[in-house]
Amino acid sequence: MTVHIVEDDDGVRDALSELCKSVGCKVRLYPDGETFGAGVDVSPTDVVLVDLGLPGEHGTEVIRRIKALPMPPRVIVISGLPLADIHFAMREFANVAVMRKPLTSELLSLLM
Amino acid sequence: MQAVRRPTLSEARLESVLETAPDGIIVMDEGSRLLIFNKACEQLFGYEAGEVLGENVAMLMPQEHHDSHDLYVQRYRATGERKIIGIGREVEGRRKDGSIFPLDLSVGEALTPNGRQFIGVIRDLSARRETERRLAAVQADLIRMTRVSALDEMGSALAHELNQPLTAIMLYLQALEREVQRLQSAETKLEPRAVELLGKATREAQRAGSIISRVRQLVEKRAPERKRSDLNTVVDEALELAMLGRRRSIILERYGPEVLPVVFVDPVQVQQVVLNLARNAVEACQDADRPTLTIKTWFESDSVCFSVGDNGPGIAPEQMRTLFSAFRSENGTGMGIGLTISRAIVQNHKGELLVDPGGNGHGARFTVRLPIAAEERVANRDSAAAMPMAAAAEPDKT
Repeated sequence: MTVHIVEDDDGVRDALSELCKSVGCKVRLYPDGETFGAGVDVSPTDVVLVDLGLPGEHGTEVIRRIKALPMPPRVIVISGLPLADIHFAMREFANVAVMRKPLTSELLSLLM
Repeated sequence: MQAVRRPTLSEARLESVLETAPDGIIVMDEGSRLLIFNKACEQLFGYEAGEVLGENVAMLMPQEHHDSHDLYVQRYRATGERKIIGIGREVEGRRKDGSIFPLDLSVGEALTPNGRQFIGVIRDLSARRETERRLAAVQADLIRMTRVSALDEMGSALAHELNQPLTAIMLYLQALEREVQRLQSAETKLEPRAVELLGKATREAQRAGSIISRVRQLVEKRAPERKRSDLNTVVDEALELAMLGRRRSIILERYGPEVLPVVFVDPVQVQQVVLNLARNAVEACQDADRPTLTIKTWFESDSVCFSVGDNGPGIAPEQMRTLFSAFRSENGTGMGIGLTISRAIVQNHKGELLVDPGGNGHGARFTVRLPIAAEERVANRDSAAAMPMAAAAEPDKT
């Protein structure tokens, strides 16, 4: 399983990747949605971690593209935005796990 | 004299002008003796015309100008140099009761068969002054509020910026913990001390995270959200924020039963009230010997209460009148705004905010009463809300 991490903050991206590697996942890193692209390399068993507040293209655009794939992988949203903004941004998507920064709860349990 | 002779047409006209003019009009001769003192002047100065006609105009001025006025007139007569005639200026007038008021004085002169005469038109400036003073006070309040709001914005931005590295730290620590677990099971026993330190670092990072979450909850704009809450938890969380950085300078005394009846409130809003009251109390007792905040929680028949007291000087009676006005500029502490918001929040919750001003060696104490959650409300809530402690402790969960 590969975890795709779309996160603009260098520290958070690297930390996420270290954590995923520590539990034996492969990781691919993208500093923004444009770099992630159409998500054609993503397999249905992968997981995509998306930060909502990305520079340029908004995180919801990335999620929309992923959801449009024939066999969409699991998406986990990470965001430091106020709760109300997250709810507003995510209103069009069902069944997407959202984690608020700082990540107090265990990310690993979501990954497993 | 008037009874004997009918006034001429121009005299009658002058009389009616003087009577109806909204501004005060006086006429004096070269010797500064008052010849005319119209109706508006009577209103302005509180003298009847009969009391002042023939007297020196100096009686309408504050004491300090009495002597100089005659000198001004003499100098003008000697030099012809105009200091006020045809120009007008702001001067001070003195009412019959001795009070001083600002006025705008325009002076003209007329050469008459009886010699030179001076005409003064007087406009009361006290209303305008008062308006200007109030405007300045409101402006000062506005500036202070802007600063408060700028601080809130900064707090929000700061919390957001700190969030990123903190998130990274917590993830690194989680990764490290996995690594340590792997090493332990691979029998490459790690120093117990290293494991202990790692645990401590994780705990501290989590503590920082929970403080940031709480700050963010308070500064974020959001719709009010009521839930069944434990007032002890709500109060203690807010106190933690209020005491940030002050633990060493302020003694905190906390009294109350472990278990309180559940209240149906927006915990973030109630925390805002606690925070406001606690901040005010901290400010009030800063100069006290051993500054102390006393926070109590308790319950009565139908309400759950908390009070915030301090050992400062108390609230002065003249301050009590304007305690809750948002724009209260007498001392510029900003207490008015916070209290107004606090009272509005408490009233929205069908509760009340009471003030004991203290004084005579006692500090002020503010008490908030909130109604106990009605049992019928329980039915309308989901099962999670039936556990008030969990609901209050984890308001941030998505």
